[in-house]
Amino acid sequence: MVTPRTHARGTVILTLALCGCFGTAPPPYVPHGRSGGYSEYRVAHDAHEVRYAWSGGVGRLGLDQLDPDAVADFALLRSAEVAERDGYPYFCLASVNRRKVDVSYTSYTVRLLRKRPGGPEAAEAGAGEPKLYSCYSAIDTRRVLREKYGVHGYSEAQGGLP
Amino acid sequence: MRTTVAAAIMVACIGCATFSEIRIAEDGYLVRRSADMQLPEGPAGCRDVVLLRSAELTLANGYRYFTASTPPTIEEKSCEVHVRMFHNRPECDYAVFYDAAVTQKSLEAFLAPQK
Repeated sequence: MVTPRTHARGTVILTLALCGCFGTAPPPYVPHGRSGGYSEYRVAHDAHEVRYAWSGGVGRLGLDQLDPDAVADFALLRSAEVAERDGYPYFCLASVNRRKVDVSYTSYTVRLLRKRPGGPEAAEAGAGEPKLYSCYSAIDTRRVLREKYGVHGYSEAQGGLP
Repeated sequence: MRTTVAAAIMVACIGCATFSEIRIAEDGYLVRRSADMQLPEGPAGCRDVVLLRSAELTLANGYRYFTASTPPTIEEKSCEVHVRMFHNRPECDYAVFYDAAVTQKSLEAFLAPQK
């Protein structure tokens, strides 16, 4: 039997569930600044360390409500942009580091490749958490992740591709 | 005097607790640093500092390249890399062989604004 009290309880549970589903937001995709963003540095002629870190909230959301997939995806998106900028059509993740305590970040050690690698498994951007030794097409990864998050181009002066 | 001694002990303890390197083979090191938020580079930069030290050790030992493998754990209080050094770059499709000179130059420039 449905009473006003059980109805109210159901509403609260539904609200909490919806908050759990929709209470996260992606941080902005920007070059590294005061609150964070993407950054990279070269470690070999065909390899970079690429990172996306964010230490602030987004609007009214706190750090614990950041979309963790977005942080990992933005490090992957920047990896694809760096590969394209350097003239490499493919890249593989040679190390993966994540943290989500007082700052949320993901960093990848990225190996750039001229040809599609034969050994490691080809991965698809935006289809789950990027894994160690996954290899990606740079142009497909850039297109898929920009569409997924509505990211528009940045000028090269800002550290990105047009 | 007492304050000076206490300060000296504190500095020494911080130095001991935040950075260490162990030679684990003729061509290998374990390089470790705690990811203290009080450090200038912060937790996200812990790996950067360890990689810079790895590049310095590689060059100091007469090698040109190194690999830096990390344990598959989430970094919380510390970060570490197992360093293996090479004179010549091995052929491998998807592994990263750090060029020690390139890594050192890049990281010194990357970390400079944070100091």
